[in-house]
Amino acid sequence: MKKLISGALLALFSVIFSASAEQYNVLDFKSIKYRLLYESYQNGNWDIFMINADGSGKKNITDSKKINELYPKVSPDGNKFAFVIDTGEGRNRKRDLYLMNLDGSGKKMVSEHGRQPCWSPDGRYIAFTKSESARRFSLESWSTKGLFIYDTTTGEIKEHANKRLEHLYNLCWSPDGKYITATVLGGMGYKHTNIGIDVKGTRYFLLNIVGCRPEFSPDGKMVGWGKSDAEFDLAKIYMDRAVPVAEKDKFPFLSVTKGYEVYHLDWSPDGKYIAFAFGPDGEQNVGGTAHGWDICIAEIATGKWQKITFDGNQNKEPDWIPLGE
Amino acid sequence: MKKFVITAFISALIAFAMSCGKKNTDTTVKNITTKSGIEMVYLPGGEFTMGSGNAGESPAHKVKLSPFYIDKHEVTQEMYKKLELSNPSHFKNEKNPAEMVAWVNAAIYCNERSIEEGLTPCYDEKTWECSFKANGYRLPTEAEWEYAAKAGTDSNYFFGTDSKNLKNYAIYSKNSSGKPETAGSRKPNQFGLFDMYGNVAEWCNDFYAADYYGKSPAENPAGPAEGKERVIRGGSWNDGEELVNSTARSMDGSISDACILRDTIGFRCVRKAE
Repeated sequence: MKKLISGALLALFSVIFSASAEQYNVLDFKSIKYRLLYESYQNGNWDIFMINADGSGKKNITDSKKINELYPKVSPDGNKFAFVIDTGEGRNRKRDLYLMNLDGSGKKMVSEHGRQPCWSPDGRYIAFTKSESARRFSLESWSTKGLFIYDTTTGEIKEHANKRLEHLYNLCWSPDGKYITATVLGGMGYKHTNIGIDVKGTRYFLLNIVGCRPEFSPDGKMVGWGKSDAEFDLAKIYMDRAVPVAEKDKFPFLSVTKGYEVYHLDWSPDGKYIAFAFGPDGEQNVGGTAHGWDICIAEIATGKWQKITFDGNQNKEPDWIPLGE
Repeated sequence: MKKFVITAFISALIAFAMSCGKKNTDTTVKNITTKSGIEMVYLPGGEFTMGSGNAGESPAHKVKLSPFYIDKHEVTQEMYKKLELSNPSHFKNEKNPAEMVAWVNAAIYCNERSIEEGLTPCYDEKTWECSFKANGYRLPTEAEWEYAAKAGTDSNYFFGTDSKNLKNYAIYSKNSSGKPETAGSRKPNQFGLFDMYGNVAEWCNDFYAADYYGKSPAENPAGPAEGKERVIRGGSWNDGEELVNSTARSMDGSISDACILRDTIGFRCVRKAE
């Protein structure tokens, strides 16, 4: 009987949370107090833009002509953001990790060759990876080596205790502070999967998530990820289990039609919405070419979603700004 | 005497004219080692029958190719490491072929190897267009791949028609241990090329079109002008006889998407013979 009820609930979830590409202009986002950052390619250059959740108030906060700023990740207090800067061209391009105040002031380099930053929930640390090849630049998200932790109070960088970590991308620090999740490709004996890594210690473990780029909900009870190029799944997550996500916890949340992609899911600070990038088949990697991509917001409770940018300027990697300042 | 002088003069003139063209006219298959120590085989080019009567491989048609060099082995993880490129392989082993290689990353490897040896890279990394005039490394055209695989034979396999012998020449679904093995661990074909069948399936430079054989040029065909998928040939450790042979064609998306990279796909390089 218990099994039957669970099955019925799962089926109900699947119906409620499914969505399609046709569901535009169905939500009123004016009541959402949060803003977002995202990367966008305009006038031959990547910059980081800020925008209100209803699509109003778009502002270029890096506004540089020759420097490419990408992959913004806002601190938990909403005052700073970590991001990467790309300089140079082609194989000589170089990617470094920086930190900046939300008003565009106080730019500071965190690490040469740093990539894929994510914040600890207390806002003290930034975890990141480094570019693997010193010989030539790679746009591939997985082309990384090691896991590093930057202490914003001391400026010190320490490599994670497990020195075998490689080819990690899309780092996400769990809200309880104990784990960092990541997708791994062709590293540590894995083909392509998602893992949890103990922040203290050397252990890493499979999350039982097929797809890529898992992101925690703010309360740490849910995780969302890209099941494929065109689908997001959600699941309950229990980090105290041997395998934190069980098959029965997963349900489809959003899917789009063939020829379109959804990527870069990010939970709103109140856990009610998901921001993501959507557009025609393109390159999802940081700085990859993705013509026609826009930032969208989906409501968790209904699965309804819509665009909040409409210029299609390769808008990707949305990141919510906490506190609604 | 006069006749002799005239004949000698004309002969000398022809020889001089031929020597002025810098094309390699060597007609023998030869092993060479490149500047960076990679073993390749010089193939003199010529005419062969491409395709077969099988669905998807027809019509069989005559194709003429210019001479070229081709890697004796599939590109190994050790070769990747030498160029300091990120090795995406699932089954890590330096002696194994590199796998999980997206087409664009195979093209990048070709360009890096060209740079390493002071050659001109073939691929424009913005458009991924291949310059066949450049003297650097590139992926083989589908015709070059098949010519190299057939090694002068006309049968389905370069060793004959009996698929039972495949185990001696290929790592494929019936004899693999569920993964690739050391490059060159089976017998080569008559050109001295290893793993043309199986181990990892190999990217070609061509876009894929099912109907291409019906309209391809007779000399140095280079595939359709555009497409979404690129040709893959030779089958892999996970494929059966239907793909592990000289003529079977398959394809995969050419974009680099982590979600669809396959641990069955690798490549080998060619370069034009000057």
